[in-house]
Amino acid sequence: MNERRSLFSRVYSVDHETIGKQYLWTSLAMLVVGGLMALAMRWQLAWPWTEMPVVGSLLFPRTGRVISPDFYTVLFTMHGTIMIFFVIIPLALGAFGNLLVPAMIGAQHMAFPRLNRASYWLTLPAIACLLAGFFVEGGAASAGWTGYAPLATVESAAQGARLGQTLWVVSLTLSGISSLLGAVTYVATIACCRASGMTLMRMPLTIWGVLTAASLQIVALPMLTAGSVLQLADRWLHTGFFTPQNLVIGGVALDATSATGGSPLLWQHLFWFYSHPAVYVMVLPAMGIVSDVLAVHGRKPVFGYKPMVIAMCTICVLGFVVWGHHMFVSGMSPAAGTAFALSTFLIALPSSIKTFNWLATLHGARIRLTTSMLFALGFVALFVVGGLSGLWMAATPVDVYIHDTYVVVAHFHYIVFGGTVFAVFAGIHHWFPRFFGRVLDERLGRIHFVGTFVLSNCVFLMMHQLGLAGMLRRTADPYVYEVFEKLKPINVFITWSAISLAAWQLWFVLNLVLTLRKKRTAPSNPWNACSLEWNEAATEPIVLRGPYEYGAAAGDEDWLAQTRESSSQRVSSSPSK
Amino acid sequence: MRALTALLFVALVAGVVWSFAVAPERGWWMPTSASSVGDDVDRLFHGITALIAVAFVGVVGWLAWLVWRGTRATNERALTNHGNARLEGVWTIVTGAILLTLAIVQLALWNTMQSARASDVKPLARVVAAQFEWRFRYPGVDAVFDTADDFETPYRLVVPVGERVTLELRSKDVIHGFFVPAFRLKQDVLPGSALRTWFEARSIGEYDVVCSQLCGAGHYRMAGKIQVVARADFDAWQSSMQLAWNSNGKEKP
Amino acid sequence: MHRNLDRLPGPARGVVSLLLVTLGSCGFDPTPGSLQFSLSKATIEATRDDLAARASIEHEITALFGTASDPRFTASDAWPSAAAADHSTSASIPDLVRSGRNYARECLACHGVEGGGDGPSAYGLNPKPRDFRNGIFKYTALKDQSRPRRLDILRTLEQGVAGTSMPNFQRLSSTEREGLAEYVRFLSVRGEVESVLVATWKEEGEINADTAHEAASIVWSRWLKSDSKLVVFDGDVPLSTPERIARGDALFHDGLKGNCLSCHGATGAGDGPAAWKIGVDGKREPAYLDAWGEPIRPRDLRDGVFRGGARPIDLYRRIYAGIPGGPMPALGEAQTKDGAPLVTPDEIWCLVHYVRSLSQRGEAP
Repeated sequence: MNERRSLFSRVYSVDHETIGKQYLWTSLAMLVVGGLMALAMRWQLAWPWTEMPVVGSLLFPRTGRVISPDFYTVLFTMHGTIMIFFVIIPLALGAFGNLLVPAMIGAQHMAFPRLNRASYWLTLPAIACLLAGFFVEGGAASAGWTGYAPLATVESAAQGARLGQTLWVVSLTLSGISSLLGAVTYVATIACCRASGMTLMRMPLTIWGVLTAASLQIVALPMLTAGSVLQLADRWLHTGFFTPQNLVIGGVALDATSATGGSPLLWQHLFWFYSHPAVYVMVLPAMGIVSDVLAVHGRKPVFGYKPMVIAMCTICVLGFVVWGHHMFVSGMSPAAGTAFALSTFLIALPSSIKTFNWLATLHGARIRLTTSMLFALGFVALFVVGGLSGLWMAATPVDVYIHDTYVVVAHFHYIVFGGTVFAVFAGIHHWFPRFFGRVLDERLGRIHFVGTFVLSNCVFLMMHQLGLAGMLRRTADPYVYEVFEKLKPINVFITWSAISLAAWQLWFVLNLVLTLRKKRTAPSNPWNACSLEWNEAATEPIVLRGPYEYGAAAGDEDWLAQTRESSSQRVSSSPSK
Repeated sequence: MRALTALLFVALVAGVVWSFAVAPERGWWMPTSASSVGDDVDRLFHGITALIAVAFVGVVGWLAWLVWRGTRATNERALTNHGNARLEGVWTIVTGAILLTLAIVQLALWNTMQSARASDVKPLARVVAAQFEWRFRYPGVDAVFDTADDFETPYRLVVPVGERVTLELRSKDVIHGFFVPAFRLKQDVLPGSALRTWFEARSIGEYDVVCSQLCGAGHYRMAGKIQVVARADFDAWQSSMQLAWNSNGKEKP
Repeated sequence: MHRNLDRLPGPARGVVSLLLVTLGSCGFDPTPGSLQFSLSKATIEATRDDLAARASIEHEITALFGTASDPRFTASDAWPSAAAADHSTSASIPDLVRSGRNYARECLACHGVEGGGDGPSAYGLNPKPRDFRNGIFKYTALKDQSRPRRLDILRTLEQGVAGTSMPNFQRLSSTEREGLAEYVRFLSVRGEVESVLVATWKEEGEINADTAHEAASIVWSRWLKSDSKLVVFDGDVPLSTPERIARGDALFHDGLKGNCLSCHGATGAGDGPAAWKIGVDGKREPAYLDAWGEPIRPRDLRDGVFRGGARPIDLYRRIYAGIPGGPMPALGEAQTKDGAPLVTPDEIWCLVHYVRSLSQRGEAP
């Protein structure tokens, strides 16, 4: 372990822990990039057509340092794309998957270490490709992270539909390949490399989260890739998969310049067939992490392990048949709308069951309010907000009103920020001792949590009201409509909260910096957790029970590690459910 | 920390409840429904909101309580309780039943709202969406589009009150969205298709049309108005438009 | 280190940040962008070797027209009061300063700070946003390539230009639109005066207040003639009949009369031989350039999109007076070799109805 390795081999490494950390730091850096774009958007919504700090002076010096309407479309496109593909998915799957999968199942390394390494290194050209869009003629992609045809596919439709959009598609394809390589690695490792005695039903729920998410990626990603290839064909080869006839876009009669006769709806189906499961990819590992943190820091087993597993698998399967709920008003057949409404209501069921199980886990628990526990609790509360607002959108007549308004923005930010990001913070605090040998400072962690919890609600809660009032997303200036003038105070409040929320994350950065400067003096299992990753010393562990043997029946202490022989006759060592 | 944490969740509940409770009177809410279908949509919305409110207050309130209780100083350990199959069954079936009921209850209204899609009723007007404006084409006296007596107006769609109005939606370029908040009406305008939608306006007045599908840099200001007038006024307006359309340029260039 | 951070416990920090949020929300009022007029590319290019002349030109233009944050027609004998040049009666139109701010919010992104059609959103637009600075406006109710009246600019603002990126502005109030029309005229005059000043300097080598005022007078006088140039029709507009359409068809295809097919093509598709040529790369390209130096194509009449308006009278005006800035000729007062009118007004109506019929296939909805 301590042999001298060159810097190159330490960086370009097949070691899953190294790769996991690489994913972690890269994603956190991209979080800053995406977050700054969000702040620029918030500035514009609170004080439209005013001089924007930094951005205005850099990019629009001649026109009063005010951003242009085109630039606003670039901002929300790149914000969404970066956050989804280069922050949340790599954090949830890339970072935690790499760090935890071998460690928690007792494998020494991933099944396909080189594939796994390639997965990380592909994200870098993908990021470079995406950000290069800012420097090309016409600027970066501007058709939303959803890239609907023909706005995205026809060059004359928008400035960003030129080279910027091509770079966007290529970036997503590279990112997709990267994700696929990683997902295949996780599934193979979990399927084949588990330690002796580690049955599927003894795996921690984090691993189930990663497994179900990786399965979703494997099955759904090819659809996005296919769609991307078709879009590139439309752009480079002048095919017309997504281009109907008789259109004149940006002064260009398309029948003269390319094949036509295609359908814009085809892109939407291909896109959402992947991108809906993608949202479950973003949330399933988070759910797993939260389950683990609640158990460890609540000193109590996860309530209903098997139902939790079944719920995750159900979300995984049902996740493939709900994509049309993004398309209720798209012009697809009303019958399809009916079908998707039914499936969407159904998919609320497993998430509800998981919520009840989390609460039942906490019921009677001995809660230690560590920072990771705080963030896990925050996850539960905020996930509930996001999940419940989803019910409005499952009801198609109501979704007709809500679609493309700020209610949708509120909904997914509660799930992705209040949900996954909180789970990520919980996970970082929880596993920091294991992977960095130090415990993050609790006081700074609490400060970070309180402010983040309060401020994120200040930012996202009132977006529900904005959307119900009719304020649309992706609009550079909502006050074009007089009736939205009275929403301005809310927007100003949200902007100030967003700026504060962004600044507040410096507490976390401070915590990281101060902690990493200390020596690696953490105990090997500071939380007294049962799961295998804390038992680093065991090279070929033999697993005797499930991962959640906490509480009164655990033996002479309140926990019984997965590999430990029971030292007391009072406790049975039969495998848990 | 224990009190603060529980307080945070209580504050969350309070904040959410407050923000929704005061929203309607402050105008942070849907505009008053002005179409026949709007009332039904609002009823469904309010029903779901009531359900969500109960669930939210219950769950997060219980969470706050669990935090408060679970952090009390004690030497006892937690029960090593791995689960309870019957409890799982109960809450699965109850929740499932509620969700299924909701799903079924909303079907009829959805079908009603989409009833113009497959119909061959002659539309009152054709909505033409282009980057970045709405234009409205009326078929004129012969009620046939694309004939010599058609006329076109940008921005303002005039319709009669109290009648079922069918519109044909077309786009010249990219996907747009025809959204009339007061009518609870939204339909994406798909290039290459002539989709239909319908509404029945209940009261005379002016209502905003908002483009609800990103269509480019000018998406945010692709505004329009629907003006609902009495049938007699509508007929008079049509005649005056026909007259103005055939103007000789002397009175009003 | 932690001891210092200890001073404010966590909860208090939450409160403090909330206070900051609330306090900060009150009274913070970022400024709208402050703009500055620049000289046009043509001026910069022409005065490449004489920076003193460039400075003088800029000085005189600023003296006459103010700055972007304070636009005005400087009181001088260069022009009579603006109201005398026009007929709109609204007394409450916003002044140029306010209209300038409205322009910045509504128009600048495409039309640019000086109205040069070079705003940040202009890239890639086809057709390009109008450059007002040569005083040419295509879709007016006037003949003889006249400068528009305020009503003409207003009509463009109300109706938009169908088939282009220029939308209608009916969501603004009519007084706001009138103010914008005034501001557009302001920009057009300013731009034209700048180029006349440069031309004068090239000829006479002098720039001073007098030459500037003279340039301004020349330009302004062009705007004063518009009233007498209105194209109207006496009596009721003849309605579309099969006979008129047939007559229009004949005129359209008659090389000695309408001769429309030479540019618009036999089917009206815009592929007539006179309007296209083979370029240096062997590909077909438009034969004509418009007044802004861009290739210009004849309209495809079959798609029913008429930029200047789709009413019969709009088409009548296009045919009668031509379209300034491009090769569309004025048929209305054209004469044959012996001085007789080339086409009668009734024949123009026949052409109008024929052209309209190309896009009116009477499809069932």
